[in-house]
Amino acid sequence: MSITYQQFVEYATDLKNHSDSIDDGWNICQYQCPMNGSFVNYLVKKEIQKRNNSSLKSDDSNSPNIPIVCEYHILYNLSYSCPDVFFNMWYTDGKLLSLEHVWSLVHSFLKQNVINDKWNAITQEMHPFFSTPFFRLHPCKNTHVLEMLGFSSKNNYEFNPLLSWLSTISPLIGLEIDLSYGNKDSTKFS
Amino acid sequence: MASSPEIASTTINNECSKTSVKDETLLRFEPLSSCLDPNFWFKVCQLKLEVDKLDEVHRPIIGYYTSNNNPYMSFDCSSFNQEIIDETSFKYVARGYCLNKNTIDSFKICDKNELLREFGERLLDDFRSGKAIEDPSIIPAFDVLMYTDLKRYIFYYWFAFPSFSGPKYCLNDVPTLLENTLSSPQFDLLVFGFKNLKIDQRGFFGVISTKEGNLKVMTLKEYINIFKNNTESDSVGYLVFADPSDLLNNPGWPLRNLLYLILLHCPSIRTSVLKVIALRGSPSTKFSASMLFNIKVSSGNIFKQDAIKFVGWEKNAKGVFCPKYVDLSKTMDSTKQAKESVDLNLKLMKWRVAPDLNLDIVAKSKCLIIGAGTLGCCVARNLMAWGVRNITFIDNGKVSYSNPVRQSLYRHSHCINSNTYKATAAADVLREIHPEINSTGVVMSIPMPGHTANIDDHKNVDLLSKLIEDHDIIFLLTDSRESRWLPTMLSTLHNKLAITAALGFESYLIIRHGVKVPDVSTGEQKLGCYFCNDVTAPGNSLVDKTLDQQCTVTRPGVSNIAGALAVELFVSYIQLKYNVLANAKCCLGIVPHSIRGFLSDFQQIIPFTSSFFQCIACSTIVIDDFLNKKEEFLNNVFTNPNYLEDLTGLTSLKNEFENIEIFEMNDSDVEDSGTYSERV
Ligand SMILES: [Zn+2]
Repeated sequence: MSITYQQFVEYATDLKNHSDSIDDGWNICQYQCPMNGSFVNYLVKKEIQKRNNSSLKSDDSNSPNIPIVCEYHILYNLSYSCPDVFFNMWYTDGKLLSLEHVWSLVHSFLKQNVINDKWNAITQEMHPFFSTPFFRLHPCKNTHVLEMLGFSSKNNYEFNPLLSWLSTISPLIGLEIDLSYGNKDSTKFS
Repeated sequence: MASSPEIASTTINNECSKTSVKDETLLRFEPLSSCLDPNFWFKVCQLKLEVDKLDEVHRPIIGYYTSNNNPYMSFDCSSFNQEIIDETSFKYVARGYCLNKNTIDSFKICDKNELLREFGERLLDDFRSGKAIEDPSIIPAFDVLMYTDLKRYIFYYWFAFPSFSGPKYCLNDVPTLLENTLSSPQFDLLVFGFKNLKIDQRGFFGVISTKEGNLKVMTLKEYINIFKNNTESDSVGYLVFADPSDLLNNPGWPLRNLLYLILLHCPSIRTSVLKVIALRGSPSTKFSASMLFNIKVSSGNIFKQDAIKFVGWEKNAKGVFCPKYVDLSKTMDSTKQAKESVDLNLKLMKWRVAPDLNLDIVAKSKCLIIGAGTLGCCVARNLMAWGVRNITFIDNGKVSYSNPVRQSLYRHSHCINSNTYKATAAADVLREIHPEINSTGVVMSIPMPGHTANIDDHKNVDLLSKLIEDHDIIFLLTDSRESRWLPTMLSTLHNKLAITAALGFESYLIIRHGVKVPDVSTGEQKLGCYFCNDVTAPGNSLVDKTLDQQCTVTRPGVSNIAGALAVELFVSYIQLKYNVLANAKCCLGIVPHSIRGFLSDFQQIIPFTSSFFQCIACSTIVIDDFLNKKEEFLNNVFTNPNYLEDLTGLTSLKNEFENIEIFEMNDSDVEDSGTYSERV
């Protein structure tokens, strides 16, 4: 399934509105294209993952609890007509995590899949807006994921397709999606 | 949210013992930690290189924090701007300074206690003068001391969040959720008032109740003015601060400085209970996690100048008071970045297509390229694309005007004044393409049989022998038959994989040899070399040829095809460890012994041939003669054009078959390599 940029913005706004109501941290940012001056909207979330909250102040020095800063960008990909996720993770001293480390953080139940099938595994690429290295899930699979979820461009959705897609891929990128996104009052999308 | 009542306090006097609310009402503040964005360091480098240079300046910078359960103060590239760009994001602003030391020694030597006292005194001055009341973003003060190694992208830094070691504070009662005290409409008024505050007033402000029971939000300055005029013993309204703490019963570090500021300016309330709202959550959720702390001072007399002590250095990841160190060469050094992305590209091939592919062995291989012409350039580029790091060129020629269009490593500038040796230029250009390449150029002519002996010949034989011994794979890419003889013999001698590529006008041959491949059925047997397949010993084929005829005349695509095939053959070969028979299977497919192709009909075949026991280059007779009487052997080879044929018995073989016409390859063709297309 492919979505238009207008739909993407509509879904992104809906996601952001629910995020606001539960303090989930998603924001819509604008990037100005230096070539033609046009503005592009994209979703951003930046959070500090403390990994193991219960031992935050514990004395257990054997398992040092190193916080990791995660930044997620969801862009609209024109050539694939689908959402496109870029993300980065770094330590609080500013040092980026290696690709191998990012894989090791991937949600445990998915690990074996990722090891066996690195097609969808993360690669490191230049961010299209900032020209700094970011991790990325290749978007060619994203339209496929949306199709598998039962969306076609003709349907009206009871549910935000961007959210369905994001919650499908979120374990791959270490992103927690609050359950309340699934229970929220459905907005009719066209 | 962590609900542990325990907290470690950050002070330099090591008073980090623990306490809990239930048996001790002493108030402890959760310290802040620094959190740096990678682009913070990019900005630091840029400023040091372009602006500060050798000055050790105290540069004002901005930190951000939130009230969302995160005891961190964050810094990124925008920290160095003095205006706050994003007013809408409900982050809180803190203003502090960055001190970048010039040398690692001045970073290490400077007295850290003295430095912290300087930071603290500056804060105290801002408190006393009232500057911090006008601009509350000074209250959560910080300073960072750093040393940046701009060559290696290594950074040493130490944050301090300076505060006053006294007085001590007590909780009057157990902290409660603010929603137990304020009604929902009151929360709405709080959020409304908050949003109307300027961004640098949002971290610290005041709230009073009106007669109607409504809440009124005001700036810290307005609130303190009410306090100063208040004569009653109890405080009015609430003091509010944005709380980064993630501990239920412990307020965050910014409150420590706020309390000091209040007590400094309102001495009358040093004995009363302060009602403090710790703002937690965000305006969109109406700060629903906010807490109410009722606080009183437990020890007095700390406002005397000589009694003031300061705390606040940040602990490192191990909980020790010492500077942090970060090595960012992987992300900031363009050379390392190039290496990483080249490697990643190759790894993708492994991950996505060929999981058994051994890239390490390819990367580690030391490749010797003999002949830095059209083929040599093409082979080097393809090796580089496969991640090979070590490449040595041998060539004695200089770059000429006809070269750059076909020989992909050269430019017109190399030809000017005919001064640049190909071997050196090729090695330089490889490093220009990819700085991680370890490339060398050796300017040397390959001794050739039957050519009038050159003074350097014997020396060059030793040098070539040493070079072959020191490399793992030899690409034999010279353009004459004679020049291939010695490298072929020496590769066989050292048991090294050699790949010869030769070109005709529209045909090519790639053949691997050198390494012994024992055959189970027939005992020791090698795969044939280039010379095994033809029986004419290399004479002096350069004699009697015009200059024009010595040039390689080929269709331009031929060398690119052959060069690429030579490298692919090597990569396939090296996936297998030993006994790589003709057409052996590896993870990439088969490993042929030779590849012959013809552009006239765009066909390619992969024949294999055994070694010829009378071969003038790779037979045991030749190798043994070289080993046993090297000087004499070489003298004979270089001066007597028939020596090799006599030695191997080819002469007598020829005499026996003198009636049979032997194809005269070198005299009838412009280039020797044009012949095999007819001799497949
Ligand atoms: Zn041979």
